[in-house]
Amino acid sequence: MQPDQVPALSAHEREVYSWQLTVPGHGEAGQLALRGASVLVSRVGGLGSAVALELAAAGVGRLILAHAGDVQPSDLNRQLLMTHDSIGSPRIESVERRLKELNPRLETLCVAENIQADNVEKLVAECDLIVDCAPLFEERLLMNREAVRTQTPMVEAAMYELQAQLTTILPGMTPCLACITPHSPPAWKRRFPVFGAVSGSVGCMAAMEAIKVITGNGEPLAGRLLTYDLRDMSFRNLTIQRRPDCPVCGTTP
Amino acid sequence: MKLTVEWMSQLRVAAGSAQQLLDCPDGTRLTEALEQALAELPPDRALALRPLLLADEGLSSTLLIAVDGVQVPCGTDPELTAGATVLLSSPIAGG
Ligand SMILES: [Zn+2]
Repeated sequence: MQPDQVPALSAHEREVYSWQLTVPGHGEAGQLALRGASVLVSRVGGLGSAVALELAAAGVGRLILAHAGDVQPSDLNRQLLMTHDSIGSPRIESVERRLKELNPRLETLCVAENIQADNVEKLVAECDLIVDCAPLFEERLLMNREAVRTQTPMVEAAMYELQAQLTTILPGMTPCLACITPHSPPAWKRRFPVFGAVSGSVGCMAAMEAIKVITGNGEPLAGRLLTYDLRDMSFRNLTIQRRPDCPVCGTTP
Repeated sequence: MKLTVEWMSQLRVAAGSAQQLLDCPDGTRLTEALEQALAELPPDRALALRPLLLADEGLSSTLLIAVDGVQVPCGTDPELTAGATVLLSSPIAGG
């Protein structure tokens, strides 16, 4: 749709988003950009739940949500879109229900699968931006490859124990994930120690990065990597660099 | 010269502390400083940390290493300057 064909915000939308419409640099144009955006969140666990909830609350128009499996008791310390009553039911159903309770205007494309070789192309093609919340590097690197191939921005969020990391990949301009982690690290385990407050903190920041990229308001963590430790509240911004020999985005592979 | 090594993520758990202070000869390179750090840790800590830091080809290519806030390009072994802080993190993910 051409910008002049985009319907203006409804009176109800103006009311719902009234606290953020007055954020300097946002306004109606920013809100329409959010409404017109499609964001892929993969997966919708501890990190992805916080991301999806904040993006739904902010008025992102469409979320593509990928997450396999049924709700487990061990999800409930951090996966805020799961509920006790949904234990044993598909996670993605709980995710969709909770998000639509918050924002019934939200369009969703919910897939009860994790990102894998046979769905990554199709799911990335549906979105304007990816938020990578997956626990396995195979999934993360698959999404990274497709993000670089299609020039789709990807917010890259991660956590461990009381620590977290965040960077925003703008393909062609910033390092990609493979510049930082070129292959799946052998010592990484699917299950690791973490509090929900840690995944929630970095999930909220990842959502803010997505909002900044979509609306062009603020400076995303492009070429920078935030690493922090909630144990002593130390926050560091590292300057990160593209690898010329990066197997995905390198210029001299 | 004095150096500070900051261990993040799995490296911190293996090292048993967030920070390690080193007193190194002038002109020490990154890999030499890390060998010294391993040598000064209790043996069980060094044993846990070594495989996370080192691969067959030297420093593991999946490590995030920054000196004074700037990522060290993979495969390089910069000379460190007095007072430098070396931050090392093994890869972490979501879930
Ligand atoms: Zn790259």
